This record gives sequence, C-alpha cells and structure tokens, in this order.
Amino acid sequence: MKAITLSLETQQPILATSFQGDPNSDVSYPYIPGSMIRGAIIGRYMRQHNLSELDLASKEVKRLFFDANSTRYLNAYLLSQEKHPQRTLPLPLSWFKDKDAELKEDSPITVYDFSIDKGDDPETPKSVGEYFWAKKGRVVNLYKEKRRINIHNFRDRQKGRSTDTQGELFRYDALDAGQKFQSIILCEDGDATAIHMLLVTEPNIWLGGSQSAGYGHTKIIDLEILNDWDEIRKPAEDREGKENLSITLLSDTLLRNECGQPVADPMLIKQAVEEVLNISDISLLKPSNIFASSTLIGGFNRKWGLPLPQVPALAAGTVIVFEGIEINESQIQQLECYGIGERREDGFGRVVVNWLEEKTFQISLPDSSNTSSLPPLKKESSHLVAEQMAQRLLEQKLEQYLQKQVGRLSLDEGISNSQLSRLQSVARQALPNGDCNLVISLLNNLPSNARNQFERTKIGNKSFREQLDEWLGNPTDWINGIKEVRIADIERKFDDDRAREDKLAEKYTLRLIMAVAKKATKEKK
Amino acid sequence: MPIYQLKIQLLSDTTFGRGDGVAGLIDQEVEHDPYGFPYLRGRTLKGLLSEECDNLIAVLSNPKQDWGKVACQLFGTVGSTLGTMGAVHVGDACLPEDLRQAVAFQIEEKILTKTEVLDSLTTIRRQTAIDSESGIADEGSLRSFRVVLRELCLTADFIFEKIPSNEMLSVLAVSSLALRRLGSGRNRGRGSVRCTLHDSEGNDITHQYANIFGTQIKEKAA
Repeated sequence: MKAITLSLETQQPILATSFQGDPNSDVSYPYIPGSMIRGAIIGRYMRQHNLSELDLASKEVKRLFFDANSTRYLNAYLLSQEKHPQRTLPLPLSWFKDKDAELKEDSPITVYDFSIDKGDDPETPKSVGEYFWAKKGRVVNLYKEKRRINIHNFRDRQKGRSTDTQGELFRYDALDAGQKFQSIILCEDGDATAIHMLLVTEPNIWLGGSQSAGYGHTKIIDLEILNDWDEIRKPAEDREGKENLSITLLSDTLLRNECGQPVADPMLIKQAVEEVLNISDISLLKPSNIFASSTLIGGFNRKWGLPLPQVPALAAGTVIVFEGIEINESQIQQLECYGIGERREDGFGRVVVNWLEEKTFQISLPDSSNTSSLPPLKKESSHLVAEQMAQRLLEQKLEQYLQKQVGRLSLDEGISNSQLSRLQSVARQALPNGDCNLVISLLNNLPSNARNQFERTKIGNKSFREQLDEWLGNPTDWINGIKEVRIADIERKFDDDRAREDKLAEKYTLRLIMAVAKKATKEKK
Repeated sequence: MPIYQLKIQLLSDTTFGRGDGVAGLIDQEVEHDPYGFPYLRGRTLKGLLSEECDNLIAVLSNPKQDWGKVACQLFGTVGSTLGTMGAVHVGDACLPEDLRQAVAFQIEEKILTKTEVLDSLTTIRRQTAIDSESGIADEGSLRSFRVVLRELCLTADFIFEKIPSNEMLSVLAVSSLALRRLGSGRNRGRGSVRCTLHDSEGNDITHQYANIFGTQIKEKAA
C-alpha cells in the first residue's frame, strides 16, 4: 500500500458545503472533504482519457475510484505553520481545559485528556473547542481555518434583476483563499503512478461549488509518493500491548446498526472493529470511557446533479476506550490502513489506535509573527495606485489634524463679522492656487480701524494679526503632529517635494484661517 | 491552462454593493477584502457578462442558435452537473496583486489599518429624495453609500481548462465591450466602466475577437 501526499493551496475561497447554517446559507466544512478530491480526480481522469462517461466495468476505474479497499482519498486538513509543515488532525473530544483558561499566542494553557485519566483537575472542565492540532516540540499548537462570508442574491436571467418569485438572498460561508491543506491518497502499489500522473500534469484544480464564479480554484503545491506512511507519525509497534484499547476517529464515520439503519452510536465502533479484525475478544467488554459527538453527512453528486442522502455519523475526534484488551501491531496497522464503516473511499472512517498517552500537556495558538520583509511593487500601475492612496491618506490625516486644531482655537471678542467675512472671502479666492500672498496683501493694506480690530482681538495669548502673520509666513509650522504616510514603498509627508509643488501646506493654512473665522462668526450668533 | 484577463476601468464612481452597511454610518457598503481593498466578486462579474451576452444574442437573427450554444458552453447552464458547467472560470476583479500583498504585510505589521486602506480608495456620498411638490428633501430620505473612486482599474482572471475556441473568445470580447454599467445606482450616474479583454501577456485582444464575431455574423447571415 502506498500513500500519496497532496498539498493544496487555496487561490480562491472553497465552498465545501456542510449541513450547518440556515436554509439560505451554505456553510463550508473546516477542511476539504476527501469526496471532493476524489470527484476532482475523476473529472481529470475523464478529461485525460476523453471520456464522457466512466466505464464502470473497467477494473482500473473500479479500483481507483469505487473500491474502498483499494483506494481511499482522505480529507485535506490544514497544514501546520512550521518550517517542515505537517498535516494537522481533528482535536480529540476527550481533551478538556479549565473553563476560565484562555487560548492566546505564546501563552500556553494546560489541557487534560480525560480518556487517559479523569482526575480532580480541572474543577470546571470545558471542551477545548473545534480546532485542528499538531505537535511542535513539547507544546501542541491549535489551528483554525479562516473563512470568508459573501452574500449573494438570485437574479432572474432574463430580467437581470430579482423578481417577486425569484430573488433569494443567500450566504456562502467558504474557506478563505491563501490557506494550505494536505490530503493523503492511500492506494495499491500499482496504482500510485497512475494517480500521481493524473495530478502532476496540471497544478490548477477546481474544488467544491460555484467553480465558474470566483470559488474553488486551488493549486497543488506538493506531491509525493511514500512507501511508509503513518497518519499520526507514531509507528504501530510503539502502541501495541497497552493495557487499554483506545480508538480515536480521525474523520467522520458512517456506521449502521443491526437493522441496517445509519446511526451515530459509538457502541457500533466496537462491532466495526470486530468485523475488520475478524475477532470476537472484545464483544463481551463494555467501554470504560466514551467521548463522542454526532454529525450529519451528505454531499453532492455532480454526475446525477443531485444531493446525496443525509445520514447521521459519528464526528471526528470521538474517542472510545475499552479496558483490559490488548491488540497487536499487525491488527493496529490493518485497522488504521483500511478504516471502518462506509464511504471509506471518501475519507470517512479513519481511526487510530492507542494514540494518546499523556494525561496533561500544554497547548497554545501558533506564533503568527511575520519574519519576511515588505514585498516590492512590480508593476507601474501598482505604483500609480499606491501614490493615489498615499496622497488621499495624507489629505485625510491633514483634514483630521485641521479639525482638531480648529476645535482647539477660538477668537476672543473684538473683531466685527464683516472683517471676518472679508478675510474668509479673500482666503477662499487664494485657495485654488494656495497663494497666501493675497491674504498677506489684504492684511498689509487694511485701513486703521480694521487693523486695530485684528491687533486687539486675541487668539490664545497672541493677537489675531500676529497669529495670521505666523501662519502665512511659515505654513508648515503649525502642521507638526502628522507622521509620514507609507503605502508599500511609496512614502509621503506633508512637506515633501510633491506636497510643496501642490502647495498642500499653504492650502491647508488658508483653510485653517477660513475655519477659524467662520467658527468665530457662528459663535457670535 | 490558458488564462485571459478582463480589465475594468472605472469611468465614474462605482458601488459594488455587498448587501449591508455599517449601522449609523453607511447604508450601502462596497465589497472589500479583509485588507480593505474593494473588489468585484467573480460570481457577480460572470452574471453581468452572461447577461450582456444573452442580450446581444437575442437581437441576432439567423445564427442565434449557434451563438446561443457557444454562450452555453462558455458560461454554462443552470444546474450543477459536470455536463452543465461552463468552460470559463471567472475570478474576482481586484486591484494589482503586488500592491495588495505589500499592503497586507503593512496591515499585519500594524503600520496601516484596513479602514485607512478602504478610505484611501473610496469615499462616502449622500443623497436624498426630493418631494416633487415642495421641492425640498423628503423627511427620512437621507441615504449614504460608499463609492469606489473613478479611474481605478480592476483586473479579473478568466481561466480555461482547455484552449478556448475563437467563437468563445469572440463572445467574451463582445460581452466585455457591451458591459458598460455595473453596481448599484448604475442608471443614476454611478458604475460607468470600460472593459477590455487581454491575453496572458497583457495584449488587448478585445477588438481582434470582436471583429471575428462581426465577420462571422455577416458570413452566416449572407
């Protein structure tokens, strides 16, 4: 049996619809289901062989796509953020933390595995939550998928808009772009090359719903065939001969009861294990610990254009422990290789035996600090947009600073509204060109009565005339609280060459004068 | 895998609505990514192009059915089966990738905020309804909406799994030329755009394939 590791990077959001959400929402699974990967590979096989229909009588087709004992397409779970990234796994439901413990970066908290030993600690246990995990040294890092939520509406094709009968608003809650996942394809030795060739020819692959309209584009970033592969990176020989037998589900598992009905009953795991191993030793034993959850499984068949029947299933992370039963290495390998239950070719029914050993350990969120440097701009058009953005941002900061200054300043009594209006009028005239000389000329040629009004009116602890002379003489002096603005590698300051060319400081000084005068006029009223 | 690009030049301020607003500030917000960059969703763009294509084909006389088939092959038909899927995968129309990456880095380093990025590319406009009798604003009719500033150029990728036929590209080219208004308020001055189709090397192939469309119509009609 060979394993093909398939690493995927999402270029667009992926819509892998589950049954969560209301009827007008499509909420994606937190991973890329194996069924989706299998479907995409079937599509590729058909295109490569120029087939409009699959030949179900073909042994190769049956082996590659429809025989769970030959080929299994495992779910693509998140890749960890490490130098040598590894495929994360669903969190076991037997892990609990203290109710008040908060998960943070660089601040590990203690987690207790109740399937090993349910001691007195913690006093108020709470489930850790829905995460994926990978071990980094002695600490377990938890990962959560990023999502993008978009709202769409249904428009009538002919009318081009929503109508009374058709116009539903619906929401897509999809896996966001820019994330890395890893799936595993378990296959027979002879088929590994064929599957590898299907994948290696073209790195772009489309997965999930709404593929032709902004969703589903994924890139295969790494592909490797392995002879020796273990889902939990711990050999079976290290896990045999233990006192208890613990079974942990690494993916959702579909099991049927004796009446043939699919049910989410953890006790059915015992029967399924017996069937796979062809033993009856564990039939008389009852489980000592069960940590289980159920979910609803469905899917969509693109060949039929119809959804699959919904069935209940045991959720990934379910743990069941049997006391006093031993299992040997080959039995562990068989169970873990083939899995249990139905739809194993789609990645359901993955199990691991005697996996967890530590009663307590530390968990943390991964370090998200960025050690890379600012990426450079490559295109001329990007530079133009960055310059426009920097200019607008600078103007917005100046605007905010201006408002703050105007709020702080106020004129005392002593100047008439007519003088203030005249000042505003001349400043407005000077504004388009940033020509402060117009206002300076006005102030220098005032008749004596008007001049006295400007000199005796105080603003702060200075006369209004003095303040105006300072502002107009050195327009940049009052703008000293604004830092430079940086968009990519474009840097702008209020007194750089371009700002001087545009007379930005002069224009804002004139606006300051206008605003102060207007404020004084309004306050008098 | 052949990739073509659609460049959308905004000739007037445009609102790519996302169906909600910000309570107390904006009634209609534009679609923007987690870093504050506005974009037009691929799903919306595909619908707009498909609509323009349908409108064009509807006015053709003789070769209507042939062009209808080409349009169905290109954009797909209703349903979710392998047989009904379109040949083209329409991506989101975004601002340049290198700029978005550089700004994303700055946001993660906390040099910039998402709001600053959004404010530098958009502005807020306000409008009221005017009472036809009194000539003054109707009470309670003040609305605000965010607009993406004109002159920005957004680019969307068109990805084909197989090399597209000339007919498909010509349908895409004429649909692009026909698409002149999009977004909210498109009949009120907003959303005027110019769309051009480019190949993977950035060459403008809109008129080249539009001419093919025109020539083929003339030949088939003759």
